[in-house]
Amino acid sequence: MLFFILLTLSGQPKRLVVIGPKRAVQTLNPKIGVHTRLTDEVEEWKIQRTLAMVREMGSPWIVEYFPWGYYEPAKGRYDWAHADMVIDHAVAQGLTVIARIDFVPQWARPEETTFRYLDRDHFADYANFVYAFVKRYQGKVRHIIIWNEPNLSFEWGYRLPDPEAYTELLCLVYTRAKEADPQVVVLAAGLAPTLAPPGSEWGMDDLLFLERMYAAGAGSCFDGMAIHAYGLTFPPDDPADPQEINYARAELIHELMARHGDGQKPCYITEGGWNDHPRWTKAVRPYSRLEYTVRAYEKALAEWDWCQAVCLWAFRYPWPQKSYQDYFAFVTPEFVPKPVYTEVRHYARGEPFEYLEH
Amino acid sequence: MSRRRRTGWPLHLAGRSRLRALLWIAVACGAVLFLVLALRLLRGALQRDPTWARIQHDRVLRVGMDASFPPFGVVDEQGGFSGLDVDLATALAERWGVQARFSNVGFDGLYDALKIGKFDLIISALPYDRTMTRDLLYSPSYFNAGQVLLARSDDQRLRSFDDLEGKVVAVELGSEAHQLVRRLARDKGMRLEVSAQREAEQAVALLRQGQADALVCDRVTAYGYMRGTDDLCLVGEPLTDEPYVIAARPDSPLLMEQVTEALDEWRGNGMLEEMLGRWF
Repeated sequence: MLFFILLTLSGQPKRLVVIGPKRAVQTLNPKIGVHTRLTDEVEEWKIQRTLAMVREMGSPWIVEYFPWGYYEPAKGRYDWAHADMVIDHAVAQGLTVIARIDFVPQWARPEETTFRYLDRDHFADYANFVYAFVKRYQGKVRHIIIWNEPNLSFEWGYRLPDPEAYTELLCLVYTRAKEADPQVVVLAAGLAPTLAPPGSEWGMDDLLFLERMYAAGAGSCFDGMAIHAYGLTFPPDDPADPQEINYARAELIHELMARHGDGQKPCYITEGGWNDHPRWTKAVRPYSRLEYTVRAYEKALAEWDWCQAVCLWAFRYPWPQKSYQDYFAFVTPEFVPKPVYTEVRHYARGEPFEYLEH
Repeated sequence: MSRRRRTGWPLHLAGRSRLRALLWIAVACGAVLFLVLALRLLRGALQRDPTWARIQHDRVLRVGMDASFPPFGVVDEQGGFSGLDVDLATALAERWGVQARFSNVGFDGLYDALKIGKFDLIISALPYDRTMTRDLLYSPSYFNAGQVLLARSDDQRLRSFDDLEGKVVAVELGSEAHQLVRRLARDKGMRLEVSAQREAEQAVALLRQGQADALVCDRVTAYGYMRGTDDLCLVGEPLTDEPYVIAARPDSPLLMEQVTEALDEWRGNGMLEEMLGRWF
């Protein structure tokens, strides 16, 4: 008897987490958003804490990643527990979730391929998963992103980017998603901003990729566009230029859509922002990152009526990434807010800045 | 009468000549045995490490890196690679009598590209990641990029972070160092003034001018401040560890053995220090 008592007491007590009543986000800029990364966050209290900090920062939008391979580990067998937790907590914090869906399970791809490898034989499996996801979260998740950066060979399973194949996938999934919920907003994948030369084995220029998507008939297969808007070393007001990668490249994506009659379709920046790694050639100084981030949110609100949300990369990682990626974060894995979090919160509340001079 | 002796050997092969013949037969048998063993070893090596076997066969070492991290790796407009990691890769290739060939891949794609065989090694200011040790083989560390404490060379008061009680510490505003100093001071219950400067150069100027007692930054940045001068020095142990390592696929144990052997030797004979000295 003593043994069992000791055994019970020796384990770490689980933190009791209560979802609580629905909260609302207080913010002066309803377009503020962040890309959270709760995919591999195991502990529920950390999921709740992360999303609470998003709300407290004044961000009504989040993009979150829902890997197909995590939730359908075997064909037809679903495990929704983690996704349920993330979505329920997000909704309770008053956040609007944009769900990015990709990641091919092992059973749906050949051996020795990466989890970005999806071939035509399994397009229907992916579409079926999206149907199941949309159906389950109807009423809680209204926006879904189909795949991610298919214009990079890395994101297309290390095959040459194939806009026509991606369009085929998008159209198939669009139909299935609408069967699950006619109100769901299907977003075409955010394309990686890149100036890859024609024929590059590593990627395809995002503007060219999108043109070819339209040529393949993609126009009738999405309700909105996810856009990736990284500023690299340029300020947010640096003008858009097809030969530059900067924040304003998002305008070029929208203009291209408008030329194809899709100017009224909403766009959502689902990744973007600035990095302050001390040595990465595509990073800026930490102070500049504060300035640029606040200005990016301001710009979208004041100048981009076609842009519904700016969800910058990345709010917090469950553990250090041990790479330049850590320098995109707003909050550390230990929940310590970085100066960028502090200043965005001040901006969202209309309060004086702590670090910025204006 | 026959000139053969009862041994059956012709008379002209008797004695020393017979011995020589026997020796030649023994040598031939030995050579055949050696060849058989060598072939079996080679086949074993191929099965144990196809990557190493391919490198030896093709005489090419393929290296993946994200060439946007000076001084470890950068690529110019003509596609020329340079940096510490490039030097390391070139030295490894020369050691093995092969040629190094570089691929520039965004950091996020490096692991997947290695996995599917786009290259043989990742040498790319690659931080050791304990969550990846089942998917990769890692070499010993060749550089620690963690945060360090910098002080004036003529200031003998400081031996470690603990000596900063009541002192002024300069950092770049919003940097990793800024967060670290605040956290350490809080965790150790220390009272110190954090002088967070908008520009990194302002922080080091404060230190040089005596308006700050110490500066915290990452090691690479610190080396940059110390380059060509002797007025600044590193104090104490690194405040954090950020070991950079080389990575290979799990099916490349011989290759990683060779990498490890090379790094150990170069660390011992000063060659690694010499390579670092070219860039820091």
